[in-house]
Amino acid sequence: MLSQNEMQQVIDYTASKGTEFSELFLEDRADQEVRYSDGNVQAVKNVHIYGAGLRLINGTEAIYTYTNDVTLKGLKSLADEALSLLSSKAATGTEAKVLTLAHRIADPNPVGKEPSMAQLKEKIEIARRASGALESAGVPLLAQNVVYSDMDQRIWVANSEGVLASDRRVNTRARAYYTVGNEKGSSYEWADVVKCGGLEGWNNDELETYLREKLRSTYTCMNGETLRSCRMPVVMAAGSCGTLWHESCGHSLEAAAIADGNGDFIGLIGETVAGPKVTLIDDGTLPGLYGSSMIDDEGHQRQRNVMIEKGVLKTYLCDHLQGKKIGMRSNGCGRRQDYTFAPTSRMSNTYLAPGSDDEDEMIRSLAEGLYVKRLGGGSGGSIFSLLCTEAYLIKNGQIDRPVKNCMITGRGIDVIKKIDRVGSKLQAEYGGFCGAGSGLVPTTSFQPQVRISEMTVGGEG
Amino acid sequence: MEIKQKYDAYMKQIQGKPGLWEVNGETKEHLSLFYEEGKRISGGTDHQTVLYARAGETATGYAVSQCLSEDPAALLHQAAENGSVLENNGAAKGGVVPGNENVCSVEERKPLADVETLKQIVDRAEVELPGEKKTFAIKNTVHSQFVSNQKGLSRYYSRSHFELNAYVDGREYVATATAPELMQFQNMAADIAEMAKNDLPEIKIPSGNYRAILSNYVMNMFWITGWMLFSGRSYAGGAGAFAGRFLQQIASEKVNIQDVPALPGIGYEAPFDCEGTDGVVVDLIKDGVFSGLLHNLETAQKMGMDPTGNAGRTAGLVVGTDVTITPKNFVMCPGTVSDEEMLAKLGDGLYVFDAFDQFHAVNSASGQFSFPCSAVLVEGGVRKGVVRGLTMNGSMGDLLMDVEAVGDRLSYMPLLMHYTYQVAAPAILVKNLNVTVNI
Repeated sequence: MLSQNEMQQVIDYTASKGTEFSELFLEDRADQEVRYSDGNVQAVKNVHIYGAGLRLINGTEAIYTYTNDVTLKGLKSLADEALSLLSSKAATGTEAKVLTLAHRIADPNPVGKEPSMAQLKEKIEIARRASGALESAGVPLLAQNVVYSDMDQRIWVANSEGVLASDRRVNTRARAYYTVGNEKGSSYEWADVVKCGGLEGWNNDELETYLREKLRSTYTCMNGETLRSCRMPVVMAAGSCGTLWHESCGHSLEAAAIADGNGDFIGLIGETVAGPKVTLIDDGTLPGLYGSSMIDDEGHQRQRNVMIEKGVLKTYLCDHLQGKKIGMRSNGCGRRQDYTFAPTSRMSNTYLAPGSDDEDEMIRSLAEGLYVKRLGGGSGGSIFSLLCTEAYLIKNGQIDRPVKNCMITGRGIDVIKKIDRVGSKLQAEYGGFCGAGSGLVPTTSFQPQVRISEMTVGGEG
Repeated sequence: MEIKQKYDAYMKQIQGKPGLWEVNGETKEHLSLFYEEGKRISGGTDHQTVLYARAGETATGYAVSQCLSEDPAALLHQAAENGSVLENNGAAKGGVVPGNENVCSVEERKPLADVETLKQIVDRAEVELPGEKKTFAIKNTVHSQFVSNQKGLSRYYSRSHFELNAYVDGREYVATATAPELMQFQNMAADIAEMAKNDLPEIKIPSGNYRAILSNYVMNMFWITGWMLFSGRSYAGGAGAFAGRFLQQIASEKVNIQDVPALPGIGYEAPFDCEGTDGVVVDLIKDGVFSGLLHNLETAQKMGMDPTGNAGRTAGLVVGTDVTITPKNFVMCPGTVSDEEMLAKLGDGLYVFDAFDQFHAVNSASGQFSFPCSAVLVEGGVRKGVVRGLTMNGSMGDLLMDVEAVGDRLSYMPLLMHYTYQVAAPAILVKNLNVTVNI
């Protein structure tokens, strides 16, 4: 990888050619993956990701280039290509600041047992345990396979403002793919258990418990009834139903959306945008969570951002460039999948702050409604949609029969105004990948149990 | 080419070694520019080479590297070591994957286009496309690939591909070509004109079953992941909505679907896949009969069929490191019915013109779909109003059986985020579509 002196040379070079801001992002990442099914290891893979991205910004014009020729010569050549694409350059060169290594920040996910130091048989054992959990869940299993994977990513960021920062992110994951079915049909799902920091987190039966429960709920709802489209109160369980916030308003609160003129939250800072019980936070510093790291991918320290406080919009999630476009400074949200992407404003760990309402009362007080225990994939924007992978009707204050293939949709800014209960028990979740403009980034989205007084739900018409 | 030569030299050294020792090197180079109201506002260029090794004497393991200075022996031995784990953990049935032998072919590497060439494409689009406020993203990709193994396989190709994304009246349209002068905008202009007809007052309809037209765009949204229903890997494993129904009628006789290695002047072109197998035209559905599957060497061998040159690494959102199945140009073949005729045939029903969340909407095991969408209510063949916040539900099997008419015009959709495959589809008229409504 480049030395500090070589990074300085590249930054100085681009500055001397009339660039206002330049940023170098270097990445060296080692992944290993074990695929397991039918009682056997089916494949083992090693992946070495290695490359550099160079970004040049003048005003709001941005050029992004990348290569895996990570040598001083290769990067100077890349810089020449990038400079040739920059329409506006200063008439005379500018001077970059001297790179100064950032002070050490507390790591929210310190590395214990490094994946590279662990024996392969330990990783195989995790995959075997996951596979065994699926087999022993007691539901008809048509197909399954498990993938254990680990990631050890080192990044370095250097820019013309003198920032020089580095980070190391390590996590391990067991992903189970499964198809359950009977003579009436089948359903395909997947489930993830993620541990941040190293292999030390796998020494309990959390993996097996989670996978068995997930498999059983998939089977239960596969045989559920189809809910005809209607409007009703919806209670959403604590934990991963927090995806509601990610899709209903999270993307619309990213500076990229605001700068593009997309979404319902433009120009509303200081205004009421949600119910008074809603305080929505994005925090990249939370220990043990998948979306956490020491710095973002622009070298800024991660921070806690209160987006909505008691229903009032307080801030957007900002990276350097999109923040500049809307007149706001970065608040540590510049993220990217890898060196092949320019960073942009992204969520990290997005959660609804706990309230004080009684979880049982939320259901007990309803003559009819929908109880959503788990969400699958979804899409966000002004209008969002979410697939309920485990949901039940509420009848006369009780959780009743399961429903299948139920979508919930709505306009985000309308739905979050209808939150009439927020429970007191916040529950985190393992997290997953969010896909957007700067690729796939790890995020978590979680909440306490909430109730939406009314929204549209439906399976078949 | 330098990297290929390095690996070719190593393969010569180990010629005759048992098992399979193979490296597939894939290089993607891009030049992309973004224009708003005639002015260039951003751009980028990039170069990336990824080396995929698979190796082993008695069981195949995998290793991938983007580090260009990696020693060939080290990379291949890492892969082989991963393969040896299979033997020691009871997966010996996996064995060594088959590889191609004694095929050599080399092409000249294609250069990236320059800024002026891309700008000329944008200038033409600005003139030829309707709409007031237009922004454009234009990209040239040079995709080069080599495959080299110890069995005498040494192949290299290099192809150039152009993609224009036009954002017109808040909506994105795509046109692709294999050379700048072949970039045509008639299809895009027709799609824009069709979309403009949907600018109607918003109305409400009840949930229920409707006769429906699914537009080109909507059908592409189905097929961007729906092609997995024809994967030889899934079929061989007994999974998939059409499992066990090979050579049976699974669609209306009006339905024909193919996978083709090249669409002249338009689509992705790959003379051979990542295993070095030549691509062939595959009839997947012919006159409604399930006629073919997409195969790599391993799945073809398992099913006793010929390989089809569909070995790849990207399926939907997942870019894998081992070899799976991907299409090249997945085409639902056009029929003979024009857009106007189709609307007249519809009579009363819905014209579904937009769909969302394509990576989660179709379940590749069951073929069930639940697709958020927007549509226009049609009465007597006349558009009456637009309906938003719908979800269309059903199964791919029923949808294909219910096809009454197939449009005569194809639209194309490349897989965004990855340069890997393209789908193409006409509009279709189906006799029954279930929709639910946000109320």
